[in-house]
Amino acid sequence: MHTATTDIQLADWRSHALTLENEVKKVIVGQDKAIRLMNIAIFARGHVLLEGGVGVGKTTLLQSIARCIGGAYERIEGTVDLMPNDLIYHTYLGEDGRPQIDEGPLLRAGENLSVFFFNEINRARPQVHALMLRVMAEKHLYAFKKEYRLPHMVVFADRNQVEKNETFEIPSAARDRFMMEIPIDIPADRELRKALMFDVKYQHAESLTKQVASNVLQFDQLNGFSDILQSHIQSSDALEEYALDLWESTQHPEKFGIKLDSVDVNRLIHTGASPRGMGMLLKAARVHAWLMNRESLYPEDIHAVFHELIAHRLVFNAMYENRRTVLARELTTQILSTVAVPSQTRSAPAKAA
Amino acid sequence: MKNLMIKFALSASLLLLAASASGQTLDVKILNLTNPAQSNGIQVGDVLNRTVEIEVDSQYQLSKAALPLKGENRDGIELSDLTFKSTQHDKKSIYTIALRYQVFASAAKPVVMQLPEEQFTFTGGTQALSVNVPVWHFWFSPLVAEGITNAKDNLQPQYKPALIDLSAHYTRLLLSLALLATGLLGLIYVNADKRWLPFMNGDFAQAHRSIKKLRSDQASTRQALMYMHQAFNQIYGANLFANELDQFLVVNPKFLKLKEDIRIFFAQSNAALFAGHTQTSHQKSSEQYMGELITLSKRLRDCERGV
Repeated sequence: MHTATTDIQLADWRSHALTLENEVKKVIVGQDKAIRLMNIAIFARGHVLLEGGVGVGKTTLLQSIARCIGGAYERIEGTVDLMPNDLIYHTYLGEDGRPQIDEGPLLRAGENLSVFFFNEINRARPQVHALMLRVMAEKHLYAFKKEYRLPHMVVFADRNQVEKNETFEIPSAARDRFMMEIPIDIPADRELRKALMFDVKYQHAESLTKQVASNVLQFDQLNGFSDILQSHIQSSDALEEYALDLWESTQHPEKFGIKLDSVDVNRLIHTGASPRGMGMLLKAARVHAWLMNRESLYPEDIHAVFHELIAHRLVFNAMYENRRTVLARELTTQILSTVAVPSQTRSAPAKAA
Repeated sequence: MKNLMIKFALSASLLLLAASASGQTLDVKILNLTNPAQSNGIQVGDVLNRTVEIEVDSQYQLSKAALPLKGENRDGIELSDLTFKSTQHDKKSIYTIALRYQVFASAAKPVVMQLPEEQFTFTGGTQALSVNVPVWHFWFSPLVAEGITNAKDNLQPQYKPALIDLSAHYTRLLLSLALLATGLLGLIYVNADKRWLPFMNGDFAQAHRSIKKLRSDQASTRQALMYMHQAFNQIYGANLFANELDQFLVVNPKFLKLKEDIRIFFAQSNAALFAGHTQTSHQKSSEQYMGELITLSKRLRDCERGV
C-alpha cells in the first residue's frame, strides 16, 4: 500500500516537475539545460548560484520559476554598501512622522518565502555573505525577539564575473553552500538570437513572466516530497564505487591519469570536492534519475549535474586560480571521460579469480 | 589381197567389240571410288577400306551371288567384310558398296602389295552387266627390319606425342591457389582470435577473447560487461555512456549496422550494473546472457575488422 502511494506521489510530482519545465521553456528560450538543472535543484532542495553576463535573462528565468513554485518571491540587489541588517529590516518614517521598522526581504514573507533572489551577490560585502550563508544553511533567523523559520526557502544568487571592480569574491567555503553554479549563456542558435532581438514579447520581462502558469508546485510540500524521492532512488555497488572514484579524482586527478593542456595536474588541485558537495551531487543525481523515470541511479544521472555541482567547489592552487572557470570545466570533462565505470581496477581481482 | 581381207575382218570385229563394250558402259558405270587415305606404312593387321559407288539402269540389280566372298584371302589380303546399299534416282540405281580388307601378308622388307580387283555383276536386263573395280597398290612395311635379331635394335622410332599446351592451366592453377590463399587468409582474419595479422588485435577482438574465457556466473557477467565497456571506451577515446551513442556512431560509422544491438547492450548493461538492487529487468540466466555477450562481442569484432 505504502509503495503504491509512493509510486503515485512520484508520478504526480514528476508530472508537475515536467510541467514546470515546459512552462518556463515557453518564455525562456535556449536555456533548456539551465531550466532542467534549476528544476533539479528545486527538488533536491539546493541553493543555486547563477553565473552569466548582463541581460541574458537570469532574472526573468528566476521570476518564471518562482511563479511556478508558488509561495513568496523576494529579491535584493548586492551592492558594496549593502549591510546584513538590510536583509533583515528596514527603517522608514511612518505616516505619523515617527520612525518605523519593518521586516526586511528575508523575513517579510515568513515561512511562505520560497525563492530568495540575491542579485549580484559578489558585489555585497563578506558580512552580508556570512549572514546569507548562515540562513541558507540553518533556514531560520532570530530577529525582533523571535525566531523566523524559513523552511521552504531556496536561494538563487547570481554573480557577474566580467566585472571585478568593487566586488568581493565569494570564498570557497561559501561557494560550497550552493548546491550548483549554473552558467547562463547567450544561446548560440542564430534563430533563437534573432527571436530574442526581434520578437517584442521577449522585451517585456514582466508580461513574459505572467504567461507562466503559477503555483504548478506546492512549495510547502517540496521538503517532504524531496525526502521521499531521495529515499526511493537506489544506487548499486558499481555506482557507489564510481561515485567514490569521481570524488577521489577531484582530489587526486593524477591518480586516474587525467591530463590537461599546459597544466601540471599534480599541482593543480588544492582542495577537491567536499563530503557535503558529494552528498549534494548524489542528491541532485537522484532527482535527475527520478525525472528520467528511473528508480536507480545511472552514471548518466551523475554526469548530468557533475560540472554544475563540482566545478565551483574545486579549489585550485594560486597559480591556476585566475583561470578557474576554464580549468574547472576542462577538469570535470576530463574526469568524466577518464574515470571508468565499471571500475577496471576493482574488476581486476575478479578476473584473476 | 588375202592379207587385206584379213585386216579388214579384224578391224570390223574390233569395231564391233568396241561398240558392244561402249554400249555396256552406258548401262553401268563407276561414279566414285574411295581408297584408303594412306598408301604406305601399311603393316600386318591393318584394316583398309574401299568404297565404290556404281550407277546402273534401274532394271538391273546387283547380283548377290556374284559378290566377292567374305573371308577370301588373296595374296595375304583378306576381304573381311562387304556391305552395300542402293538408292534409286531417275531410272538409275546407285549402289554404294563398302569393302573392308585386312592385311595378313608378311614380308621381310617393304614391298608393294595390292587390294585385288573386284568384279560386280548386274542382272535383270537383256544381258548381264559387270563392272570391275581396279586394283589399288600400297606399300607394305614389315614390323621388323630384315635380319635384325636383337630386340633392342629392333625398336623403331615412334612419333613423339604432341605436348598439350598447359600454360593456360598453369595460369588457372596459380589463380586458384591465390584465391585459395586469399580465402584462407580471409577466413583466418574473420574467425581467428589470435593476432596473426595486422588489425586483428582490436579492442573488441581482445574483449571477445577475454569474455570467451569467462565462466557463466553472476561475477563473470559483470566482468564481461567491464570488458565490453572497456572496448567501447578504448575505441571512443573516452568513457562511453548510453546518452553518447549517437556521437560514438558518428565518429565510428563502421558500427552503425549494430546500432540497435549496441543500444540494447547499454540498456541491459545499465540494468545489470546499476539497477541490480531494485530492478529485475535482467531476467535472463547468466549463461544465456554470457552467450549473448560473446555473440555481440564477435559481431562487434567483425565490424572492427570491417568484415
